[in-house]
Amino acid sequence: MIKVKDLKFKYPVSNENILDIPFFELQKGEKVFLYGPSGCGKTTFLEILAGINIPSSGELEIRNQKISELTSTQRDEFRAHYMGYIFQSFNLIPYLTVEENITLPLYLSDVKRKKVPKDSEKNEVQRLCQFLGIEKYMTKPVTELSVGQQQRVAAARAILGKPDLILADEPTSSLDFNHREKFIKLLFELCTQNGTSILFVSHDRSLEKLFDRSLSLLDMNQSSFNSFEDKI
Amino acid sequence: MIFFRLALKSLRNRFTSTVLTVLSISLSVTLLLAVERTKRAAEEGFTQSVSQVDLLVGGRTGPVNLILYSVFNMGSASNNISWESYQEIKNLPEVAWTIPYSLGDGHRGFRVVATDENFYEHYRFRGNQKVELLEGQPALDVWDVVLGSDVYKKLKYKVGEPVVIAHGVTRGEGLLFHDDKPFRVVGILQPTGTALDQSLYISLYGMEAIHIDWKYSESSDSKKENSHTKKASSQTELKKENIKIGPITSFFLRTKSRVETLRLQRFINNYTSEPLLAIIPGVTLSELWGSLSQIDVVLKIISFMVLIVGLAAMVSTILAGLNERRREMSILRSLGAGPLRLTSLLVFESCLLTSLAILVGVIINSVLFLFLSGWLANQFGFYIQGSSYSKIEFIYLALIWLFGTLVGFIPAIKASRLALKDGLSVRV
Repeated sequence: MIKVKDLKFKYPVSNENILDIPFFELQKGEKVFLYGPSGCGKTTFLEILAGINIPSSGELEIRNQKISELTSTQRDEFRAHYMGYIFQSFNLIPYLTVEENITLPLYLSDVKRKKVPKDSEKNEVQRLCQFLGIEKYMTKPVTELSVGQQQRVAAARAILGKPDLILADEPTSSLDFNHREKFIKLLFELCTQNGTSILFVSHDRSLEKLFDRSLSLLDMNQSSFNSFEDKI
Repeated sequence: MIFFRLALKSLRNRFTSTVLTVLSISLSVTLLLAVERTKRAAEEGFTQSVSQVDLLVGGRTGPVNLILYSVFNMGSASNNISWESYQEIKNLPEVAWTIPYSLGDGHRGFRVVATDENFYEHYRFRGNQKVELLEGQPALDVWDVVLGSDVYKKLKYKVGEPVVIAHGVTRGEGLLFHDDKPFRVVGILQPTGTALDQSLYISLYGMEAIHIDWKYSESSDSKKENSHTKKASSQTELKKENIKIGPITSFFLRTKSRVETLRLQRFINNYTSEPLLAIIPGVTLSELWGSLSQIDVVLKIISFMVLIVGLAAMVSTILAGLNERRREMSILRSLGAGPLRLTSLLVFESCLLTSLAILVGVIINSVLFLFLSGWLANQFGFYIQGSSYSKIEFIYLALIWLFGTLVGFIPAIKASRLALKDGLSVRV
């Protein structure tokens, strides 16, 4: 699913590589936990995978597509078609209802739309919401929901349209332990149904036992920037 | 379709700022339209001070001068038209009617116009507006006087009151008065918003009557009292039938068929027994307005400034709105809305706002003039009429619409260039 080789990344203003990852791979359907302390470049790494940031050098292949060969618009489309991104801060659109937020990707990607045609959209969303326990709120504005519920809306939005890969950036940081575990189990069940791979990033290792595989970004990253405390 | 819904929901979410944006744009639209319409009304009011008249005839002078002293009471006539010439032209077969004007006297800063019944019957201004009496009747008898509405408002004479006319003065206070022969107010005209309001109207007989004996009593060494004591002919003795009318100052002429106008004009201009001038009033009035182009330029500059201010307000409100929405744009982009889609969303939105603002502006403007036109006419004699919208207004509106829509591209380009990261990370 994901192949990374000699990937280096630095911000245009600095000379130092923030990331220097000789090798990383993620298989189809695999659920991988990537941990590391705050500021070590986890989010940056995810953003590179999602095509939001562009690596300075090295190879990145997703679904056998070399990301460096895509233009910025194509990267946007690629992400929309084949990935779901769960943001640390959910990034729901405040003036839309729960249902409208969840279905938004279908209107922006014809690949996802093909998997969930218009006539089955309602059922699919209903099923997802039921599964995640938010079906009562479907017609409510997202702003009326609790953090935990918003979290599940964000997850539902990422998973609708059966993407090949879900990138999750500390989506559980605002939940307590019990809810975290429950949330991840729900997410896994949905991903297993669809054969979706997950790359889950967190600083909190208490969840790592639930995953197929667990990695430390600090070990993976050869960058001298590892003295991350300097940052911030 | 999703964009339509997104844009509407997003606008509703920012209801207050949306309303304010629309309002500020629509107010500048209103202002622009109001300035433009006022300008047009001023021009129409001026160029249509007299209408449905084919020719204006006077003693040989310049066309502008003839218009100025006949219609606007500015300057004075250098030559008169003899009664015989007037009668000859009046009785030509091509002539439908004439309105004679005999000028030269005044009353407390207003001019006195001596005319006949045709004035009340045929004088038209602003298209087809007729001279109408607020009360009383036309001044047809020797000592009758009818007041223009401004004269009535200022001097507050009532029907039946005596009015003494000053000799030779059409502006300011007079020195020599025809006080041996006072007139009586018989009628008051409706306001017209033209120079008609600033005159008193008497009959040609009246004009003749006050000047009988005047020539003799006015010899260089005579005193005013003398003219009093002399009273060669008493006021009551003068009857219409006994008065022989002398020369007049100018007259308006209507042909039976418009095609005769130019031929008749040539005939009068080549009139052999005395030098006369015939002009087409509409043409000369337009020329005159054109020569007052500074007014036009000033009003145009004001319109233009208003337009710029309005558009600037629109750009700034739309841009300010966009800054609040960076996050929203980033989310949409992260979900796969490419730059093209974001652009169309934002451009659609600004187009929607502009269209709405133009609509509201046009409505405010129409309602405003609907309610204000009566008040403006009564209070200031300023008449707003004619078509509400002219070509230039449509051009302005189209320009605003186009510009307002294009403004959407600025934030759209900004949003597309914005690094996704910018909007996605939470910032306080």
